[in-house]
Amino acid sequence: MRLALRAVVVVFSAIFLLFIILPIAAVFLRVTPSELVSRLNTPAVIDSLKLSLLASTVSTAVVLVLATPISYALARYDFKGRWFLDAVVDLPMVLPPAVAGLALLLAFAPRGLIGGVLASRGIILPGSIWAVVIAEVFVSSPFYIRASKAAFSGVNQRLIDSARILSASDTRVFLKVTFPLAWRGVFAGLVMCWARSLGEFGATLMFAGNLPGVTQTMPLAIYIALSSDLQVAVVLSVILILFSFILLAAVKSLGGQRTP
Amino acid sequence: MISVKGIRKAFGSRQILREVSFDVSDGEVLGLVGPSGVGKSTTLNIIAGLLEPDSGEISVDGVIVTRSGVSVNQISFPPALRGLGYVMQEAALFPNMTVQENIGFGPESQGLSKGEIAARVNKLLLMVHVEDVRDFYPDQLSGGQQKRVALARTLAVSPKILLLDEPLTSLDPELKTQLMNDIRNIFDVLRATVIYVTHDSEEADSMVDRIVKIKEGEIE
Amino acid sequence: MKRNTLVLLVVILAVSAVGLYAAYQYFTPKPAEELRVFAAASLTVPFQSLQSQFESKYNAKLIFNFAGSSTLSTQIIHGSPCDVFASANTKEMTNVKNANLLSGSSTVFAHNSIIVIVAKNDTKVSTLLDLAKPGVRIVMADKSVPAGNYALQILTKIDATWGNSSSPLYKGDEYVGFSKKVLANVISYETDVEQVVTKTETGTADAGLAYKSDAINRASEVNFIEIPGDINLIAIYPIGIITTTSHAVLAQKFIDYVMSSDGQKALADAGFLGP
Repeated sequence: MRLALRAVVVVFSAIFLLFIILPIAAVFLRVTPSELVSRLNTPAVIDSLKLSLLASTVSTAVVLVLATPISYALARYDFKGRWFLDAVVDLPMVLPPAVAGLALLLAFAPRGLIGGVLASRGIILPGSIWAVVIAEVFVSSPFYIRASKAAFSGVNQRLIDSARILSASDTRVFLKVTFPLAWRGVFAGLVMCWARSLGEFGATLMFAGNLPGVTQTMPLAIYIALSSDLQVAVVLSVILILFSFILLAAVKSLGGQRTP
Repeated sequence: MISVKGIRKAFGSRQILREVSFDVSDGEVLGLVGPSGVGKSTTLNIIAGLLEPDSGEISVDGVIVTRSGVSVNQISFPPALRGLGYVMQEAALFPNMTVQENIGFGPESQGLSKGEIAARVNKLLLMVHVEDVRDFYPDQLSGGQQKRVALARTLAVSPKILLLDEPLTSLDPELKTQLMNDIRNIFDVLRATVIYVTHDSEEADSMVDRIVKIKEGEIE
Repeated sequence: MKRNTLVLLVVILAVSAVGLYAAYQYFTPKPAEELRVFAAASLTVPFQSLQSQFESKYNAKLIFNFAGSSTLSTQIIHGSPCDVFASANTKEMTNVKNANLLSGSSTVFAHNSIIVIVAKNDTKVSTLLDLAKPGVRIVMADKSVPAGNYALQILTKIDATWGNSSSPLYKGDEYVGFSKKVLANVISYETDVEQVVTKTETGTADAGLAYKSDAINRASEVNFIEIPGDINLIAIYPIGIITTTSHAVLAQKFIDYVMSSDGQKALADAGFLGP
């Protein structure tokens, strides 16, 4: 019977892997390595790669700082209306990205809800890389919050209790006990957040705009390339996939190591 | 030294503690004995400040650290400020720290200098006989060793009162005897005030000065 | 644990270094005057082709924002910084005007005609009538997008003329109920006209209704069938200056450039018709 289970697992895994790999292989097979290298030095590729890296890194850092407190609160505090906060925090994940982009525009563009206040202080977001960061933070934060919330709730209550008896500072308890024990899940959340940011398109297009060299991240560059040259779009896609995969693999292999 | 008065606690519709009151004198080792599920751990958690009672009052060394109930001024000291030490049933050692880091956690939080911390940690490692595993991580220790380290960690902050929850349960007999002697020694040396919780009345007989029996949420 | 942390630290440092480098590149001040041009996606090729000439002639830097015209007008109306708006239809320009953001009036700088686009080696569709054949797979833009709207209007026009026995332009029975038959063959309504071209090009659809400029752009991959002038709708492309601009002079220069022979040539090469 054990053999039967194994067989099922292997077969279904193979099918699923094939399903994921085939479209990606289809993209790769459309370019030759030499063509790839020759196109690497074009502004479209270099600018969009730089922007994607910069924006996604900054977004992930912003999410770590801004979203950790609420993730911790949802995980470990019990309060009235917690279910509501929980649902609100998941909202961006449910919204179609274009809707998210529109919502951001309505709120933060100079003629938006609080955009006017920002504009009077000289802060104009659409058309700048900060809009890209904001769009990415908005759509990818739920991924981080879900993972880190699970990690925080997974920390044994007795450990936190013991720490609270030994240390008067709750911050100390968080930094020395809770966070180190939850960090693997937190890290996984950060990786997901970063990956989602890298692939973000709809909200960025609407809120930040498609400005080459300014807000045109790789997904946007691919979108634009589709209208003029399919081959360039394919080349960009290959680069994006390769880059994401390398970084993802490196990070996952690190995360899997046990603490001694 | 510690005075527990009229503690009541319910979880939802279940009344766990009905009317728990007892006192512990300075230097006394009090045994809280009763079958499982009767509210012993809950009592300790309330004394430690990890749980709030529905009503009642607790004072440590004359200072009221908990006061709960209707039409009274609520008082609740944070756990770390009650002058207590708590060794839990599952040891609860921090898995991300070595033995000596675990023991040093309390003193470090109290702001002692590196030298003072090291001295205290060394003293405690010797006291509970775990000096040769000081750089080990908790998952590398045996059950008995974990309990010793947990005790050392608790003592590291020089608590006025020690709370022990089933410290010898789940240990095999040989280990149990060894540990019993060591713990009893420590109590004597430190002239510790202790609340010792166990379901094993024989164990209680050999470990404590006085026994208080608890059944269905109240003292018998 | 220590080694793990070290490697992670290296990765974080490496990524931060890249990030910082990119930030430095990004924030280094630029000397030339900047002009923000929001242009319909179909103008990507012609506008980018005249970019370097314009930039060197006027010592300016053009920052384009290419997207669907309705996305662009929404962004402008909500305050996204913009100096010049080039739309693929008059509707979106009017929206901007109604929001009091259009400086003066707009200028029509090009026209685009709708054509039937067909993949190079596809034999199913060779005439306009073939679109109504059962089993033909067609893509077109959604009616909320200018290209889709024009295409639908053309189909309706055919019903009213070629397929209407009481019309002087009546062509024959085969055109009766034309739009109904064609719409039955539509497998997807795309959110932008680029998707229409891509799907046709890759063979997902047998034919698509797109702009002539798209067909010229992809001349190596697709053929196109002209739609006769009596029922064709010509897309009007207006360009205008946004009131909030602080580069009004340069903005006008850009519009003049687009209207000049250099600009018009770039547009014509891309398949656009004149103003």
